[in-house]
Amino acid sequence: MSGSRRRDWTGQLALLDAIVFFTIAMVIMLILSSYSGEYLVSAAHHDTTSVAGQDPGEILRVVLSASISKTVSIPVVDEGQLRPSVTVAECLATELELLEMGIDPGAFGELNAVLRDVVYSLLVPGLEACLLAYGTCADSSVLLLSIGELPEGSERRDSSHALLPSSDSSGFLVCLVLSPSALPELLQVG
Amino acid sequence: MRFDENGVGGFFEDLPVLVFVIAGVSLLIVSGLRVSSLRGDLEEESSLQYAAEIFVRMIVADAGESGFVRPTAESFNETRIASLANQTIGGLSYSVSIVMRYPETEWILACESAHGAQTPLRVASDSKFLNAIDGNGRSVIIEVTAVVW
Repeated sequence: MSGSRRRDWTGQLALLDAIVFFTIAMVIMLILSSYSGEYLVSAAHHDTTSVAGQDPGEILRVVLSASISKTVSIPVVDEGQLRPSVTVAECLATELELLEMGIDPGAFGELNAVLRDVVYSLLVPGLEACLLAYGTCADSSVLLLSIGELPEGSERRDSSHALLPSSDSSGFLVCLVLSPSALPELLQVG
Repeated sequence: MRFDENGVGGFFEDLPVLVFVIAGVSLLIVSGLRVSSLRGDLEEESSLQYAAEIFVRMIVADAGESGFVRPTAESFNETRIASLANQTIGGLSYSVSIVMRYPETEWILACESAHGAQTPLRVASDSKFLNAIDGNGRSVIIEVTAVVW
């Protein structure tokens, strides 16, 4: 065994090349991981574009077209009560016209409770809703009615609106706002 | 044939290089596989979700909801839903529930595919509200929910 051992930098250079290759592989892996993470996040956002998967536009549409299904007393109207077959849209238009005329809002307590029941019958647990109605007179809008309260400090809100006709040409703007209540973990389970 | 120590020395010098190269190649392969499998899963879930949405829309449209005509509770029947399932979601299993939500909560119809007992790997669902006319002439609110797997 008299072979001479060769000493040069070739081995070190090969190791350096391998380390560079490994580093590049690590960088590519990190880029792919962050890309897949962003892809997951964007997919999750796509699934929850509306609060808890509930579309306020769809809820407002069916609520306005639904009958109140109960006889509701309103002392200030001529007949004194609204029939069960009257739709929510018709009730709201009547109430808003009377409120615009300056009738005491306390007269509509029973009707407002029914309207709140209609909206809440469609909501998943953990969601709060607020139904707002504005008079659209001239170039300004006045808040005439607010049914329900939204939790303060809620970051996620989703809303939709519809226009109700009135006896004059102005009309009323009805807006439904949905927001997670104080227990957002209920929504995550859903 | 030559006998000396150069080969032995060369072999042990190349081992660290080999380890780095194998580790680098493994990282590339594993991360590539992970991303492609993730994309495949998401695309499959997305197409399943799309099938559920189309299925619910078809059930609602078939019941006759439009701007002028309101369906009744009798507009929904199991045979029609099975036929719609064949047209829209093909061989997928499904479960459909139709529930009145207002003025009272009441089951209207619940049905599922004949091969619905299979254990689902992926599930998608969608629901839609619609107005319908009840026996008293009132406009009630109905929810149609479909689960597809």
